[in-house]
Amino acid sequence: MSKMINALRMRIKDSRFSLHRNQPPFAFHGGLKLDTTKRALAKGIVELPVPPTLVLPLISYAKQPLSPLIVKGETVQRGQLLAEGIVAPTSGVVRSIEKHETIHPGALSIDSIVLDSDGLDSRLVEPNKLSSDERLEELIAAFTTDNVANAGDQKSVLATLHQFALAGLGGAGFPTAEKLMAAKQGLHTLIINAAECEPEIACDEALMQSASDCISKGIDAIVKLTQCESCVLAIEDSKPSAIACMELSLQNIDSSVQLMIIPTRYPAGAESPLIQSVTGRIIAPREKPVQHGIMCINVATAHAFWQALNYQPLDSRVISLGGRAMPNPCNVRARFGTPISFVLENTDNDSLANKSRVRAGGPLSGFDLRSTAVPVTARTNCILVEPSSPETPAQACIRCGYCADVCPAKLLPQQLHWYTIAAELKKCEQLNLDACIECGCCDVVCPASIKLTETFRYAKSQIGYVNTEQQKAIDAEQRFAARERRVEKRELAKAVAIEKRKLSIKANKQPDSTQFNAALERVRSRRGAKKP
Amino acid sequence: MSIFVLLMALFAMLILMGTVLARLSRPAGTTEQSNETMMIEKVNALLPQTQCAQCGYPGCRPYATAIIKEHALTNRCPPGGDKTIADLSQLLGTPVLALDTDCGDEKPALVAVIDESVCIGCTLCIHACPVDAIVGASKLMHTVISNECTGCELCLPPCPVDCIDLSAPAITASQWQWPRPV
Repeated sequence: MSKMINALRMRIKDSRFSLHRNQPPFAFHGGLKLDTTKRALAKGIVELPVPPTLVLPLISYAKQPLSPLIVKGETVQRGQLLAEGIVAPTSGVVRSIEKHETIHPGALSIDSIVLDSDGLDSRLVEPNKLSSDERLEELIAAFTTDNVANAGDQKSVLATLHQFALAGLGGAGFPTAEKLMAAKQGLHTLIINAAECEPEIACDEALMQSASDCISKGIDAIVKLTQCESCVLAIEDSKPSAIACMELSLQNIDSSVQLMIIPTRYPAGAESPLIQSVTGRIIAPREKPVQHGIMCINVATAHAFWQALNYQPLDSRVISLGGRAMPNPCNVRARFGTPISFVLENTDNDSLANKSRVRAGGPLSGFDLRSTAVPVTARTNCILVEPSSPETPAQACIRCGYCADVCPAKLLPQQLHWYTIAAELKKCEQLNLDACIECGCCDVVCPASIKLTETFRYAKSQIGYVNTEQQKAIDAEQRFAARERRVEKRELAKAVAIEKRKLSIKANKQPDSTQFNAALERVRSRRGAKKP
Repeated sequence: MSIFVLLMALFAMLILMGTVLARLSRPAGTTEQSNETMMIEKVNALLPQTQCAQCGYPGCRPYATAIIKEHALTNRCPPGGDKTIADLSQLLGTPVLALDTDCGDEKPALVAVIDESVCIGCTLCIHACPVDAIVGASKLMHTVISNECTGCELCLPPCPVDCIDLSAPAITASQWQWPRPV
């Protein structure tokens, strides 16, 4: 093994490239060379016990509330679908559906399913189990049928994929079912993202070292399903042992997958820099990779896809524990819904110094947490504990332009910073602020310690807020106008009816005398009959 | 020389005819009218569309129309507050006035909430709501679609059991905003 790794090291050395190359891996704009020591890697993957209580936030990728498919008090089995994209991570009883704090920069409370574990961890019993190959074949057959003729098949594919409960495990948590359905447009390159470029995060690397066979099978299954023309597994050259493991196991699958070793440079693992590295194509702002026939899937998601084919829907993930103040850095596999405090306690990391802060996400792209009672989700790739040193106060911008040099999205952070301060959000939009991937490179190089990423996050959310408020105003006006029309119509109909009635009364003023007399006669005769 | 004069005369005649034709081809006053409609649209776009009628007009568009046609003052919109007044003044080139407090005070955005345990299902609030943000039926529970409520308060007076309150809207994940960095 070590010999092989050494040979690989040599190859990696050769693969180091100058900035301008005309063959892959291509260079992308900006980025930074950061420290790549990943302390979490030392101990493999620690399997975490199931916590007594799990919390599953009912929220979709698009930040919309999800409706639960179960009720309070119901007993659920592991793997049972609880809402769209959420399965029960263990068996137990639904204690309640209530607001609970989530991993969120503002510690936002969101309606969540609170599940009490029964300690049995029993899986949902599938009545007629298929083998993974049979299941995949079924899925492929339904996936490749004609759209219009077989709407039912389409629904069944989506339903099966929803049962897998897959979400992108790279950190963004995009629903994989939707991504795979978009692949129907035709793919020429499927990129399996194993770059994992951010310091401290080593969950994918640990997974590749320990479960490379399952990953390869998962990649094979996705290649077969999407029928892409080529598939590339992109790994940074700082991970020789993971490369060796993957190279070995990729030989055992049917599909041909190209292993591409890309130079270590943050943020090589972000979607658009990665696509640029692998294919040389630049995805313009507001464009989607699938429009170019390209799709990126995280390596851990490929692993999860294989597990899901074997009736183990996604209900846990590997999390890297790191940071300068983490006593015991390691990689753990935790069920979704496990409180972060539970993760820290069960890895001997609870003896935190008083003045330390816990972060979710990597050291550059993450954010500080206000509470550790929040549950792990598919997006939690890393938990950091950092000493809370006093922040360097921001100084005035000296217009050095380093931020523009390192920006992988080729933005002008300096300009965007000025416009945000001046509340010129329209101009921020014109400068493609929404293409900012919040990687934090500009923060690292800023000599004036300006918190640029925070500024852009604020500006982006402001733009979103202003746009939704404007849309709401337009909608309100439309409803008001519709109501005016309705009221007017009703009033008009009323007036017409009154007028009609008046006319008919006028026309019938002289009642028909014969009818009148006949009626009078009837009454009289009845009265006469009653009298004795 | 004479040719030059002739050409000039021809040119002048053509221009004259063109102007006359252009004038004849549309009825007089259309330009002013379309200008006015355009201005009303622009003013309307700056108003908050709460349809609260605090300005004394039955809705935002009627107020916009009054501003343009009747030169109504621009300081009669409490929900829009100082920002709307400033925006309107900039658009119309009028001086920035202070908010007319006879119309109401500027308040943070609120939404109506019906206490469903008290509601008797009289439908009066449904008829009062200018933006159709209340759902319900006679003798059945009513509820406010909080995302569509503009906080105009017009449902408060007709309620016979006083079960409608205004409260700050709950912040959802899609509405949450990053704090402004210091």
